[in-house]
Amino acid sequence: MENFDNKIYTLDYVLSASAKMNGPFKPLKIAVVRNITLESIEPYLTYFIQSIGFKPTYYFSLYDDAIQQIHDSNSPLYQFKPDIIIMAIKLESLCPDLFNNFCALSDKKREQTQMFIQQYFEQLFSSLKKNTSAPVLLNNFETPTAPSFGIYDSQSLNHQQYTIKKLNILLVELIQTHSHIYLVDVDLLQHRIGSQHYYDLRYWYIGKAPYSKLAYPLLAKEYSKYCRALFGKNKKCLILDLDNTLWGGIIGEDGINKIQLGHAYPGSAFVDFQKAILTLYYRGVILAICSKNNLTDVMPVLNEHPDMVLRLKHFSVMKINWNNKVDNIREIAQEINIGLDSLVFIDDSDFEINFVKELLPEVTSIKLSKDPAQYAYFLMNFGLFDTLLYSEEDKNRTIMYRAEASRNQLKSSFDNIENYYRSLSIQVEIKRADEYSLSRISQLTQRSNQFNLTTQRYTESQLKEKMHSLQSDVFYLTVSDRFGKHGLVGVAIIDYHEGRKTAYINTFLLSCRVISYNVENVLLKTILDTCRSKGIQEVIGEYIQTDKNNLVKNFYTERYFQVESSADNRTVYKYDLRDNHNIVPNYFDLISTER
Amino acid sequence: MEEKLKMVLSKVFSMDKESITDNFSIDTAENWNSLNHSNLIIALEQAFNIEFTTDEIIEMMSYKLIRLTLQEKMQENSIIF
Repeated sequence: MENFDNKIYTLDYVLSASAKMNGPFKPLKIAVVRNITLESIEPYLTYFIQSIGFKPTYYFSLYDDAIQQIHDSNSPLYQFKPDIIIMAIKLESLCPDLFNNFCALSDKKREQTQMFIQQYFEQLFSSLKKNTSAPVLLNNFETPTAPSFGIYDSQSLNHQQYTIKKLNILLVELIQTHSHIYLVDVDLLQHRIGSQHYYDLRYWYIGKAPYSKLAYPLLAKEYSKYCRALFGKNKKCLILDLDNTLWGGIIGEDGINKIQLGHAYPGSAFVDFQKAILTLYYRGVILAICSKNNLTDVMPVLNEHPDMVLRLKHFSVMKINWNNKVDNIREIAQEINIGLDSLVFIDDSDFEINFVKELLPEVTSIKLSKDPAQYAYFLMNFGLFDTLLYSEEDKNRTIMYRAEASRNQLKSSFDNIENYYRSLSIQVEIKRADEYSLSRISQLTQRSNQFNLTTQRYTESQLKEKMHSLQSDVFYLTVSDRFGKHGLVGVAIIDYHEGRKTAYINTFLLSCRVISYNVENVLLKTILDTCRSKGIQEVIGEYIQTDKNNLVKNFYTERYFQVESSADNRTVYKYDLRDNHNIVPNYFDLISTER
Repeated sequence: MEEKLKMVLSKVFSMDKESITDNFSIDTAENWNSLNHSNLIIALEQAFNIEFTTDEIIEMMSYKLIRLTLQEKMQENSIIF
C-alpha cells in the first residue's frame, strides 16, 4: 500500500507489483486521445488503477487524430465505449509557433492563435458532449520554463509565459459549462517535480514522447486520483494517533507543558501537520482519534493547549483508551457507519501499523516517517481523500455526525422506538432534481454503497440528461429533525418506457446517515404514486448485488414487490399498481412531496 | 552484468532468459516494437543507474549492441568515480 516516504516507482517495481495484486477487479476501459506519444504510461497507469480496484483495458487513438476521433460519432474511440477518456493535447504540437517561434509572432498572429485554440476546444467539447457521457480528463498546457524572451518574458502579459497561462485560464472557463470534463493540471505536476525531471528530450526527438521515466508514474498517479474520486473510491475518514503524531512527545510522560507543539521546531512542524488535517476537515473528511492514552491526560490538551489547531469539536469519534487499535477502528467504522475501506489510519508506531494492516487489510494504514517536517506536505499531496465535487453537505459533515451522537443519547431514554422517532420531529421532503441539487445527487450516486439497490454511478452531465428527459424522473429526498438537518440523503431515478405501461426504478439509494427511520418508504411511495398518476400499471425494481449492499437484499420483497426473475447477481421485482399498500409510518412530523 | 542484462530483457519482452542470445535483435524478436524499446531503455537505465544518449538509444537495437554500449558506459563511470 501507500508508503509514507515518496516511493520511486521504477518500471520493474510496477510490473512486478501489478502482477502480484489480488482482485477482484472491475473492468475499466480507458481511452487515450492525444497528439503525443503516451503509450509508455500504460504499465504505471495499470499499477495505480489496479490499486483502486479496477483492471484497465486501453484504447490509444492514432497519433494526432483527436479531431477526427472526437467529431466522428462512429469513430473507434466511441466504439470502444470508454469508461473514461484521457485527452493529452500538447500545445507544443498543436501550435508550435507559440513555443519555438514566439518572438517572431505579431500581436495579431498571437491573438489569432489564441482564438484558434478557443474554437478548437469549444468544438471538441461540444462533440464530446454529443457523443459520450464518459468523464474526460483533459491535460492543461505546460508553461515553458525557458521562455522565449528570457527574463524580459515575465514583464508583459503578452509574452510567452502569460500567453500560455491565459490559455490555461481559458480552459478552466470553458469547462464550466461541461460538467463531465475535468482538467488535469499537468503544469502543476511539472512544477512539483521540476521540468528537468519531468521531460526527457531524447524521446521527444526520437518519437514525440515528451515525458521522462520519473514523470510517467506521477502522471499515472494523478489520473488515478481522478478515477478514485469519479468512481467513489476516495477515502472518507482519517483516524489519527496522538503522541508523536499530532504532537511530539508522550503526553502521559511529558505532560501538557512539555509536549512538542508550538512555534519552535519540532513543535512547529506538528502545528503545520495539524493545519493540513484541519484543511481536510473543511473539505469534508471525517476526523477520528484512536490512541492509547488516559483520557484525563488528553482532554486538557484538546481543550486548552494554546497551540493545538485541532480541537474536540473537529473529531466525530474518539477512541482514547488502552484497548487494541483493531477493535477501536472497527468500532469507529460502526459508529459513523462507513466501510473499513473508507478509512485511513495514521500512526507513528510500526507495531500498531502492522497490527492493523494484518487484521484490517481494507483500512489504508500509514506509518509516519521519522521526520515531522515532511508530514504536512505529505498529507496535502496525498490524494486519497480527493473529490471532484464540493457541496454544502461537505462543510457540515462533522456537525451532522455530532448530531447523530446526540440522537443516540436520546434514543437510549426511550423503550419504544416509534415513540423515539416521534420525539425527533422528523420532516421528510421529496423534490425533483434541479440545477442546485445536481452536484450533491451525483456525489451520492458515486459514494453510496450500502443502501444502494443498483449501484449506478452518475456524473452531473448524465444526471442532467435524465433530469431534462421526459422518459425519466430524478427524485431526491431531504430529511431534518429537531437536532438539525440530515440534508439531501436519498435519490431515486425512474425510467419510463414509452408506450408501455411499466416504469423501471433505475436507481434507489439512501445515505447511511438516515438508515432505520424508514424515510425510504416515503420515497418509494412517491414513486408508486407518481407512476399511478401517469396511468402506469406496474413498477419494476431491481437489486444488483455487490459485496457491499447486502443490507438491501430484501428491500423490495419487504415492501410487497413480487420476484419476477433472478439471474447471477441480479433480481428483478414487480409491483402491481392496482395494489396500494400503506408503507409510510405515521411517526413523521411532516411529509412534503412534489409530483 | 550479462546476467542482469538478460534479466531486464526477459522481463521487458516477457520471455525466457535462455532464449536471449547474441542473435536477439529487433529483427528476430517478435514484440520488439517502439513502445517496448522505450520500456527497455527505461528498465536498463533504472537497473544499471546510467543514462543513454539519444544516439545510443536509437542504435541499441540488438542484444549484442546493448551489451557493448553498456560495457562502454560502465567503464566511463568507473573512470569518473
